[in-house]
Amino acid sequence: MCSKVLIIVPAYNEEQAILQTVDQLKKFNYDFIVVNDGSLDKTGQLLQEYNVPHISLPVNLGIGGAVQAGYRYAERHGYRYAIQLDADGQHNPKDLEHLIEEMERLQPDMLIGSRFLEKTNYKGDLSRRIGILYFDYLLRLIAGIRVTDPTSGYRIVNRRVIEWFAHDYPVDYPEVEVLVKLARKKYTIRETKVEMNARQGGVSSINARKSVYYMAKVTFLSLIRSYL
Amino acid sequence: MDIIQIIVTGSALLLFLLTVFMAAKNKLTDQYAFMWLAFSLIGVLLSFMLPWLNRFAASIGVSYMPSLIYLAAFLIVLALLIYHTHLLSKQEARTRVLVQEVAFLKKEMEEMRKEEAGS
Repeated sequence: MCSKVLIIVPAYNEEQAILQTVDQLKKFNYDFIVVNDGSLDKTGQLLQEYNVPHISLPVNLGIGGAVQAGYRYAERHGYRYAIQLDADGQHNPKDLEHLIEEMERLQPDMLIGSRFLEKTNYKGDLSRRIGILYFDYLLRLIAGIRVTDPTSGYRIVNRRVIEWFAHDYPVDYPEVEVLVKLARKKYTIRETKVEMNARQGGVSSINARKSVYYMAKVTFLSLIRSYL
Repeated sequence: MDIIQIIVTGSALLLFLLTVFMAAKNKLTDQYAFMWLAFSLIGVLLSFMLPWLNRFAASIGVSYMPSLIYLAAFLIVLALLIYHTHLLSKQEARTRVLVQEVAFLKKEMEEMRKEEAGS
């Protein structure tokens, strides 16, 4: 297994959506790895039964630890690009080719699939949109970059970033924090339009209480790590 | 020796004996055993120095000596908490790497088993 692109699919309790996501991925000729993050439901069993390429973390590490496991796998197996794709079906695999083409054309260190760069069919609720707008301004203020969809997990990175993330990746709510880190180190970040679907199963890990913690934590850590 | 001095000395000795017992039974690793032994010895020492501590508190303008002790104890406990949180963070990072390594090894083993079964 050594093509140039690895798709990393972190999955925690995704028994309802994982096989559908994997079926869609199989239509494309890219290597992919599902990182089963210590799921308590039948996710691990399904991956085993249907012979899906996967690694199973023996305990739940959270999104940061799961995604980092994927990056470490990509680093070890010499992949040139790595793409994060959610297991819940929100990220449309049809955009994979577009992401890779744009990555090769623009040659940034990270390319983010954005729902808001151009008009798409995405309909997020108001609180989510406010959060995204907040992080957009935060990034402009402390990192000097403009990102229309900073919380999008649908992103592709090059080898240089794979090597970095394999050894240093935030534990929770990593999306915005890594943008700050990359921007401060003068890595190039670009965006391209993608379509996102409603989730096909499971529940979002971010509720109202957690979103306040998310915003406060990311703001605080981004600020101190940027200026100290 | 008044009653308060007996209580303080007794408590410090109790902490010292507890630390010695835990260190002897390997319930504390060397680094922490030494740290707590040092703390408990300081406690025993201070319990015999209560009159001197009274004079010291008065000399720096603290009229009620126990509040000086509380302040010092609070600062030490706070420093210990920060130190332990730091250690916990370090352990968590190490555990994360271990968990990931276990998952990689498991995958490699499964692939080897499949290859063997295939051949």
